[in-house]
Parts: sequence; structure tokens; C-alpha cells
Amino acid sequence: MSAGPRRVRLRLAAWSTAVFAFVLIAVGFVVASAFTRALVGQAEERVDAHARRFERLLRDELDGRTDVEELVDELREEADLAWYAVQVAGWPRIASAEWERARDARLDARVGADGTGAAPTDDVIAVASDLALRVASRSFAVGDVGVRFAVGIDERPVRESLASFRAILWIVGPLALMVAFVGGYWLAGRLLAPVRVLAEAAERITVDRLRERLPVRGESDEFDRVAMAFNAVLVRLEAAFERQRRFTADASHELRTPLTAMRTVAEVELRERRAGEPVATREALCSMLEEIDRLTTLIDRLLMLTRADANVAPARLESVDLTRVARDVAATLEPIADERGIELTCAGDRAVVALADPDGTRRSVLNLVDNALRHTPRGGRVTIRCATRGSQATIEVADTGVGIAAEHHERVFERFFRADPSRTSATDGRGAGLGLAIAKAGVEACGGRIELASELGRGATFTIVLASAPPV
Amino acid sequence: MRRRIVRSVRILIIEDERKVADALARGFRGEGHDAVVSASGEDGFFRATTEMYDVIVLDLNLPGRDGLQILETLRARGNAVPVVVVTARDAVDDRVRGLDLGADDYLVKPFSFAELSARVRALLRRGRSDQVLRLCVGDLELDLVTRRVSRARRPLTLTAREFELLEYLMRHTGHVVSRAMLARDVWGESEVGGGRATPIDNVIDVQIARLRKKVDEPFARRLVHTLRGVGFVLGENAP
Repeated sequence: MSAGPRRVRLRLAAWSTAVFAFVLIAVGFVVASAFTRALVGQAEERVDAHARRFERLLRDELDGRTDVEELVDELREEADLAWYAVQVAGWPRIASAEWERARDARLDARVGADGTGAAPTDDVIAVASDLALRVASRSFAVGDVGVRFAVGIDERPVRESLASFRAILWIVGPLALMVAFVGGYWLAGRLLAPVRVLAEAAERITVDRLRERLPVRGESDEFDRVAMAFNAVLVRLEAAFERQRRFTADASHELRTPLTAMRTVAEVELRERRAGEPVATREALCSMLEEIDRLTTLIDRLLMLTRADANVAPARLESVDLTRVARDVAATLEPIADERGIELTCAGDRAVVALADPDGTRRSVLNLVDNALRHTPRGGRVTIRCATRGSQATIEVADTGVGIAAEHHERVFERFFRADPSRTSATDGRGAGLGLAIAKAGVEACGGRIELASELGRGATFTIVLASAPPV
Repeated sequence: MRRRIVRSVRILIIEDERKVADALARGFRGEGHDAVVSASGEDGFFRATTEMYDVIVLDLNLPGRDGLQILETLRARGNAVPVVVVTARDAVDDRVRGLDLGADDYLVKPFSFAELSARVRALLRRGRSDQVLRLCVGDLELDLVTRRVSRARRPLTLTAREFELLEYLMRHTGHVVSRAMLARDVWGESEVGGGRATPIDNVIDVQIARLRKKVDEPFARRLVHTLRGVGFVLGENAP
């Protein structure tokens, strides 16, 4: 039963983790793209600011100047930039040392050859495998002279920031998922704890203990509703069982009076008719009386079981020497065993003391041995054996009879159960079919149980297990 | 001609089930007793207090006045007439209450007339000593002191159970003994809580057959008779 809730718990945790993962991925994606946009925007602003500053510088420097060498020196001192190139119309290209060293055609294309042309552009050029430049190119005119220039800044810090941000997401994401799963599992466990309590309480409830109820915690939550609904079912079930029980009891009682009338009338009739009466009448009366006797036995046995069901008179437990019970039962049933050619033995002579109801125990053992004798062929053996196993006292009834198929092990204790439907009670109908039920009721009334080990064709062993008691 | 010592025994049957009451009355009359039937609690109580009876057979479930009430009132008034209570209720509590209130015996329905008759005989015998040391029926003798049994002076070897069984049958010589009586009195089966819940009836049949083999078979005259559906009788004449 413990596998069920655990599976639900795992499923709950998995589902909550999956939902969390979905949310995490969506949020990560949105945050990452926003972050990228922000970084790129910053880089663009930075390169644009550099371009404007550089343009101002160029305009100042080119104001009336005609000497290229001088401009080169000025720029080298003032530009404060690693990457730039200027193309003034009519002049040779001026570029920073880095720019020249790169010898990159795509870079050179930004400044063109004559200082005129293209509109301002911004983009990223990968100069080398480890170097990407964000390049801004602008053009303007001083007087009638066109100037075109480009500045570049290293794009690497931006890319590194983005890369580390993604790395953080990749590490933190799974960690968060793990935490979410563990948390979900724990939460599900807490949530399901009342279910476990309910299940355990429900497992304790059997037909014999319908009076038990599931705990209602008074929090009027969903679990309380389940418990209350279940309890309502129990109330109805208990009422139904009670009705059935009362019906059996009432019916048995009601049958007693007419049975008494039948019996007394027939018996007195039989006494009064003596000589001269037709034999057939006598026979009919005798046969009726026999059937009445059978019916009486059946009613007695049914009532006994009904009382055991209702548990009206709980058994008074006392120390019972099972060996003595076994010997007494063996002595009582020995004539029947002898009659049927079955060897009935009582093994062991050490006292085995159980805490039980003496009458109920004797009744149970008598019925078990009687059942064994019924199902053992001539020449077979029935053995009664008592033993102490730890805190348990057992009395075992083993036969060498036809045995009981495994699928019938539970059902043999049912009332009127017959493994072989073709075998009717006609041959020996004194309440047969109730013997094992009575044995079980007798043992269970003292808190014991009956175990059955049997295979078809290999005999059967019924073991009464009771709590042991210290020897008297 | 039946032997009557002073007068016949008077038995009051307080029972509302007409058929049961009439059959019981006929049965007791057949045994030579005077039987009076009273079909209601009031009438029964009136008769019990105004007339003299030797035994009262009292049903507990009565219209009008409950059987237990009748018993209680009778005893409260110092009436000590022996009472056999018969009832369809067999719960332990009812039995204990009935006996507490002064019932002398208690029988659960459906009882056999043989048993009721035996109980009544026992009540009538009460006070008189039945300390016999030797039981004899015809040429069958059972010595309770030496625990020896002989028939026609030939000793018989009986097991302990067979001895008890024979003793019981001999104590009820001429009267029917039912299986229920044997189960309770010879085998010690408790009647409370389903006296028939043990498979003792078959044992009784087998034991009777064994006893018969020893007591009857070697001899010309049968002493142990079976009354099918009723029980067994020990006597020189077949029932």
C-alpha cells in the first residue's frame, strides 16, 4: 500500500518541476534577450559618442590646416582611441597604428578612397578570431572638402558579459530545478500526509471492525471531506451488516417456536402410538424428527456465528493448556476416526499454554479435527500437534487427505462453502459447511487466527495461532 | 394400571403457543401426570398462586405478563414450586437472569420432550437421595463403587466413556435420552453459545454402537434401543 502514495508524491513533484522549468526557460529567454539588447544599445551609444567626439576633434584640427603630417600627430595625441581612420579628400588616408596593422579590407572600405560617399553606418566587424570591433563611420565636409572617418571600439567586453550571463543562466537554471523538485517532493509529502493517515485508518477497518471511523481533523478541507464521505459509507455499511446480523438472529429465534411445536407434537405422537399403528406412520414421524434435529443444529450453529459476528459477549481469556485440549479432542473424536479407519494421533506431551477462551478453543479444535476426519480417506492420518513459537502458542491439525486448492484457501472458512459443489450436505448434514467458520470465529474471538497450508492431493494443515501465556 | 402413591403429579404449563402447550400436556398425561395448560401470563400467574402444582413449565415470552415477571413475583411471595423455564432466547444473560430469579431449570427451544420430561423427573426427585451404589436393569448390573459392569453375571469391559454413557442410560431406564442430553451430561458440551456447534452427534452414534456391541450383541435380549430422531432408551422392553 505504500507504493501508491509515493508514486503520487513523485508525480506531483515531477509536474511541479516541469511547470517551474517551463517558466524558468521563458523568463531566462526574455531576460537574456533584454540584457543583450541593453548591452548592444550601450555599445552603440559608446561608439556613437566616440564618433561625435572624433568628429569634433577632426573639425577643430582641419580648420584651416593643410598639413597632413601635423594632423596625424595631433590625432595620435588627442584621439584617445585605438581604432580610427580618416580619409580627407585629396589627402592620403590617416589611420591609427592598430588600424594599419590589421590591414583589413572591410575596415578600409569604411573610409573609402576619396572622403565622399556613404551615409553613416554602425556595425560589428570581426577583425580576428579573438577580436571584434564595433565600427562607426561618418562623413562631413569642411568647406568644400569632404571628410570621411571611422572609429572602432573593442566589442569583446560586451560579448564576455553576455557569455557569462548565459553561463550563469545555464548553471543556476538546473540548480533551481533541482531545488524545485526537492521542494516539490517535500511539499507533496506534506500535502499527502493526511492521505496516508486516512489510508492507514481505512486499512484498520474490516468487516469485524466497522465501528472504526476515519479521523476528521476539523479543518474542513478536502481531506476532511473525503474522511467524512468515507465515514458516511461506513455508517451505511455497518447498518447493512447490522440488519443482516439481526435478520439471521431474528429468523433463527422465530424458527425456534414452530420447531418446538413440530418436535413436541411428533415426539408425543410417537410415544402414544404403540401397537397396531402402521409402520409407515412411525417411520414418517421418525424421519421428520431427524430433519427437525438437523434444522435445530443448523440454527444453533448459525446463531452462534451471528453472536460471534456481533461480538456481543467478548471471550473471557484465561490460560488454556492446548495440549490438554488436543488430548481431550482426540479422545472425543477417536471413535469416529476408528470407525473411518483413520489414525488419529496427538503428538507431544509438553504443556503449551495459550491465553484463550477454553470453550471457544475446544470448539475450534473439535471442528478442525472433525473437518480433517471428513476429508481424509480410510487408512489416512490426522495429527494434532501443539507448540510454542516465541510469544505464540499454536495447535496444528494436519491430515493426509485430499487437500485444498490454493484458490480456495481463503474461502474454505466461508459459511456453507464447498470446494466441490457436487458434494452435497445430504450425506452428513448436521450443520456441516459451518465447521470451519465456527472454528475461525472461536479462534478470532480470542484474538487468534487460523493459518492454512495445503496443496491439492497433499493433505491440509490448519494451525491455530494464539498468544502464549506463562505456564500455570 | 399405573402406580400412584398419593395422587398424580400436577404440572402447570404456562405457554402461549397452543400446539406446543397441547403437545406437552398430552406428553405429560401419557406419562401419568396431571397437566394443566395456561395460555397467557395473567391466567398462568393466577393459577400458579391459587392452585397447588408440583412443577411449573414456564415460557418466558408470554402475552400480558412476562415469564420472568411471573417467576419473580412467585418467588417474592415465597412460593417455592419448582419451575422449569423454557424459552427461545438462549443468550447467556437471559439464562443467568432466569436462574437468578429462582428458576430451577432452564431449557432452550427447540427442546425435545424427552429432555423436558427428564428435567421434570429430576425436579420431582429432588430432595430424595439418589445415592445408589448399584444400578440394575434386567440382568445388566452396573456397580458405581467398583466401576464394574456385568450382564448375566458375565463381566463386561467398558471404556471410561462407555461406562459413563451406560450409567446415564441406566439412570434414565425406561425413559428416552436425547442426543442433546448426552452431549451435555456425558460429554460435558456447554449448551450456552451454541451447544450444537461441536460435531458431537456423530460421536454419540458411534459410542452407542460400540456400547451396544458389548452390552447387547452377545445376548438374546436387546436393552439399548434407538428411537430414531428422538434418542435412546435403555429398558427390557422396546419403546
